[in-house]
Amino acid sequence: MPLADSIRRLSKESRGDAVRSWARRHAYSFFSSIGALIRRPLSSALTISVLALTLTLPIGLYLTVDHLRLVVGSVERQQSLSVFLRTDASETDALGLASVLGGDEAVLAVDPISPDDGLRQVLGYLGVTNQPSENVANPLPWVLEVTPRADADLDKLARRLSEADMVSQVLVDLAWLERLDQLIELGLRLASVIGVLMLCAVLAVVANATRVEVERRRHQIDVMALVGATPGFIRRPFLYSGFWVGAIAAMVALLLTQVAYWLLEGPLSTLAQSYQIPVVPTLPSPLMSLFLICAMGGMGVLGSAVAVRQQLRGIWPTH
Amino acid sequence: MIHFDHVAKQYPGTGMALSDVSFTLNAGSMAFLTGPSGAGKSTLLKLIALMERPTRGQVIFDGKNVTKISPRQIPALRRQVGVIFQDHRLLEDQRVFDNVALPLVIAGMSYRDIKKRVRAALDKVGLLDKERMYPTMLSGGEQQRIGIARAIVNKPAVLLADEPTGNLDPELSAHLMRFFVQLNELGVTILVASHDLSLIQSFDKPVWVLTDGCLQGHAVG
Repeated sequence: MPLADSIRRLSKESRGDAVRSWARRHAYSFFSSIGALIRRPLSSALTISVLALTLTLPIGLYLTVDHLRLVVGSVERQQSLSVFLRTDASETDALGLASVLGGDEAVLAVDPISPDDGLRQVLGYLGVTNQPSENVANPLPWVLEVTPRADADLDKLARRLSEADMVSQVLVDLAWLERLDQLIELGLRLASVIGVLMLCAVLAVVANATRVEVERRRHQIDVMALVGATPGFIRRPFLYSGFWVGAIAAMVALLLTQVAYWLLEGPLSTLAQSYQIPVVPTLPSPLMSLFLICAMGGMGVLGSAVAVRQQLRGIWPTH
Repeated sequence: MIHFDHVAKQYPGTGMALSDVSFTLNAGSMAFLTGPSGAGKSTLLKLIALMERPTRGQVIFDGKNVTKISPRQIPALRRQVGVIFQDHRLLEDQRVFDNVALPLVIAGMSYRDIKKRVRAALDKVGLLDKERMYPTMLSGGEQQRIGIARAIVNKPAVLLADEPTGNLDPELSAHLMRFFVQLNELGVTILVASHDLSLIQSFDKPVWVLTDGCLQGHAVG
């Protein structure tokens, strides 16, 4: 029994030792990767800046488009039709048509806007405050703002209205918003596509930097292999370095985005105020930032893994 | 410990480095390997540490046929073999201490143990006061001794030395060889390749002569 006990104790100890040496080897890889980056500050800084600058572009684009989407989303989306009457239509014609339309089963409300009211509104939008002189002809026609019932078929109603007497044009107000929505969607897709391309660029840039670094440390790698280092032990510092380069580049890119936002904030809010659009400060959310840092770090690891694998062939002779 | 059975090694594009080599080096014994340069001394040592694979024949190390082992098993084998190179193979951007510590770091030893072992190894080669220096600040002979300290720090069962006295003056060379003999007396199996025939014949150890890729005579050490 004592023998069995001592064997058990021995194997337990050696297992603990194995875990400890495993941890020590990993700690060595971890710190030597940081050391390698710090020992060559210029080359590390250049690689990181290339990645950070290229990454700032899609982040900026994404945030701009996303901001636009928020702004558009805040615009009240009351479905309404603007019925433009012919310029020769009189007040009597307009009000007559308005009362006819008011009885239509698809229509909830009709709001007639006289040319004078219309002109005032337009001038208001343009920021012109002084009243137009009386003797200038008002080019605007009567307009009927038609609010349809919620369940009405908008297209059918618009077609029916455009066929009515004295009507020159019917505008569905929602159409431009829908087109804007599509543009925003396009912008977001574009940002995603550029983003994916940038992640691939990370892969290529880190792979190349790793290749150069492995080449530079060839002698060290050979010596380590000669005194019994495993492929994993040699590979690991490079993988860690790849992670650092990617992750730090992501952090710098986020910082650059922040700086760019500060620089643009003043003029942007002035512009937004003139359109009575609320300025919503949109910076990358913590979740998005974390995702970016992890994704970039991951691509860095992948990039250096590809390069190291390629470069370390032949250190351990095969048959 | 080491057994070569009709081993041949041919490098692609060049001639035969070793054509037919058989020998046995028993555990705890020591032998010298000599012969003209280009006779294949380095190749023979590289085959033991699996820096090369034989073209033909079998290499048995510690009862295992290493001709058959996979690349994954090579690092473990190399940790049992200390190799001393003529060109030292030191890392010039790392201090003497870190150079000697490398095999122990790879093994995942704790810093306290590493410090103890490295100091002991440096003490053995007489360079304990140089641990904070960089290899380039040392003479050729001192660099060679750092290489030896690195080879013995992990207490390997086998020590291979390829022209260890190549750059040293006669007095240092003799001192170094006596050091190897002392290590052998402590139980380390040692194979030293050297072309300094008069020096190696002054020790009472078998001397194997390698000419034209063949070992002369029956080599058992």
